[in-house]
Amino acid sequence: MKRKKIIAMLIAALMCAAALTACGSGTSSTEATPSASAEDTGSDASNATGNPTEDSGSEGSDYSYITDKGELTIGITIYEPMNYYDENGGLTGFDTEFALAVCETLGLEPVFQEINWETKEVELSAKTIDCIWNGMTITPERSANMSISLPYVKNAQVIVVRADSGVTSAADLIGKTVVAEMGSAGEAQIAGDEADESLAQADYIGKTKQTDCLLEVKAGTADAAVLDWTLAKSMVGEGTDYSDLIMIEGLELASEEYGIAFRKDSDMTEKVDAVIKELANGGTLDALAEKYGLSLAPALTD
Amino acid sequence: MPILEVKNLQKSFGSTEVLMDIDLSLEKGEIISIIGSSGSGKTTLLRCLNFLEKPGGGQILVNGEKIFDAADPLSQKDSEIRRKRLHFGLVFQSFNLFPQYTALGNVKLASELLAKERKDYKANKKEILNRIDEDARALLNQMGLSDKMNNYPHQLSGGQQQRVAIARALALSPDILCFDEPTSALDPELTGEVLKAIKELAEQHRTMIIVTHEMNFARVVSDRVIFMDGGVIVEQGAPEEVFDKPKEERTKRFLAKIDGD
Amino acid sequence: MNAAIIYGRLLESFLLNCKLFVVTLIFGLPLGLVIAFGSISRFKPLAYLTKTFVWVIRGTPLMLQIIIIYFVPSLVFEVYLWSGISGGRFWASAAAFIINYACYFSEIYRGGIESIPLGQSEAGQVLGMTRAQIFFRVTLLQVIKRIVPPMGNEIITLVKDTSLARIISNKEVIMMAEEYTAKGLIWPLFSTGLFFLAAVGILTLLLGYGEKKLGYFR
Repeated sequence: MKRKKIIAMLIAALMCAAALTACGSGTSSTEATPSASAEDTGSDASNATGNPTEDSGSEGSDYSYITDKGELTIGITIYEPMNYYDENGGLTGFDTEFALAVCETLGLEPVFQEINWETKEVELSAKTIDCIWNGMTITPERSANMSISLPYVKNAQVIVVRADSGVTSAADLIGKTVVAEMGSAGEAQIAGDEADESLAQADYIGKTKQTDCLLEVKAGTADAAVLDWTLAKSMVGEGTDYSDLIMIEGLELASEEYGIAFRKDSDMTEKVDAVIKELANGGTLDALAEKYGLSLAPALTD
Repeated sequence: MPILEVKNLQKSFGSTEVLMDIDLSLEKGEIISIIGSSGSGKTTLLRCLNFLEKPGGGQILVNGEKIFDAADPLSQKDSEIRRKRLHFGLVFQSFNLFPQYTALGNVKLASELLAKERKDYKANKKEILNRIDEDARALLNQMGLSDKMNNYPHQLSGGQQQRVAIARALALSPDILCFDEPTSALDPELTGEVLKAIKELAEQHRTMIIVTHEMNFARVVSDRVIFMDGGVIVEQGAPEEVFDKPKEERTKRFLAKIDGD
Repeated sequence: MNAAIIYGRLLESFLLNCKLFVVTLIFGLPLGLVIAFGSISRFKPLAYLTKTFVWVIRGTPLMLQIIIIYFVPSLVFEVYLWSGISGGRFWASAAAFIINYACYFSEIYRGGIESIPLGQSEAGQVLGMTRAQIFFRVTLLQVIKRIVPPMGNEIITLVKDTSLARIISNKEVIMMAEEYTAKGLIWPLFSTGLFFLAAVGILTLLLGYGEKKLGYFR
């Protein structure tokens, strides 16, 4: 009996180890057919290492996959002015209307799916969403891991503080508490290689949502938040729910642009780019930008 | 032919040998009491007869039919055992009534379940169930519990519960009715009613094996008394022989201890 | 914003919590019994594997299990399980909940079954009852009576755990309320407590009623 226990334990441990290494090594099978059992895929994965590998997004055509479905599942977070609910509970916003226009042209049904921002890339790879379309800043890392569309809106990171705080520059925040959304461009300004000199010397706390950052500053539990200009512009200051907060005047960190992300090597991106150009030329995007107080990216205004 | 024959019965729990080479035979209508100190193996013997323990060696025969043979694995299959169990009935020291059934329900349950296996069950369902109900009521009346039929066990005294347990065992008409210290868990004033019920069964010449500490009762009710000690039958005989003129040393010592209490 | 509209949206999203609660119980209660039997099986390897499984499931956070069940099939095995079915997000969290709660239930069942005196099953055996008959006619009701209080605890915990489904963006009541928190409106978040309170209140009454009905025997 004791021997059986030891053998059973070893088998269980081996299975755990196999599962964990499978997670770590990433996918390497080039077959698109789902396997019948976990053990089969496990051995496929280990056999295929050393072969030239392609990422899961490139099997077959992403475009055919999406058009066969007839639906484009769009990953969003609720974030003014890009995607948010109006008083009647209807989804609206710049990215919402933009996506609706593109889908109409491509003949696809748009399905807006709220996701957690910090697992956005995972959701994309897992095919639980087909694109990330939510005021996503284009960065070199993101471009390396996903296929990104033409830049469509200009953005910068700004610092939001309480109107009565007396903070006028990044230097004022050395040693203070600064919040930003985890995995965001704002976070990169505070922690990490590209961080702003002064902000790197502040205490950083990560939040799951950009809008949670506003709450913290308002509540006084943080001294400042580093956020997208597009969000701050519509949610902060006179006439908004956060009327006691302000953006630090004239302070723009890291100018950036927004793009729509598709799975790596997806052929959907070029199709969407073509539509974006069309909408830009036709003036639709200009109208939307004006409606929501945003600036289009230079690539589209040329 | 003896109704029950036990040959070379042996039982060990791990390394402890609890029954060593037991030979026993019982005639129909005979009533035997088994006495002895705890650890003597008397309860284990009873449990072996009822298939609650599996003997390591030996054979059990009922009416000449070999219902258990330690050397033959076929005789030990679960499906076989179920049938063979019905030769025996067992009344437990701690009653073991089913708390969610009334007294009547307790007595009827097993019969109703067994009836489902009858080929004519579907055809005669109503009559069969009526019959079971009548028989059960008769048994409870016999036990003096006619006004307690719809009571739940927790509403009955210990003595009443044990009498329901006896009725429940009788409902299946076993060839041999076994009692495992039926009054040991009862308050002294309640033992009387149970012993009375058993005495009445004795007068009907039911074949019974009673493991008991009640020496006076054993003397009065038994045809034969068996004294066990250390896993063997030390002495057996008519009550007057064993109680008044014990032959073996161990028997004498045991009886002396009992008397001394 | 109109309080009525907000409450309306909160109520609508609370229905997701309710749906998850019901689905978890419907599948988890029987599954728990199966796992309990596995744990007490006389076939030792099965008992051992089952107990290890229960240890792993009870020993890791439910939140983590939801994420694993949702993402591992597609990311590790390239089986695009959840995106292929409608409401995949919901069913992924349902699967995690069912397995997780079944393990907790199984331990309660096991404790209940093992606490029934051996004499009950022995009495059944000497009366010629089969193991199945003994379980369903004798043991089960006694077990149910014994496990109502600890089961009640688990079920009440389940009500509140349902909001964990938001970890993979199921828009249940708390995630809905957080939409308003994002705009600086915090009372909707606090008022989600009322929904849970009401649900637990109803359950408490039902459980009390159940205990009473089983009080006819002891």
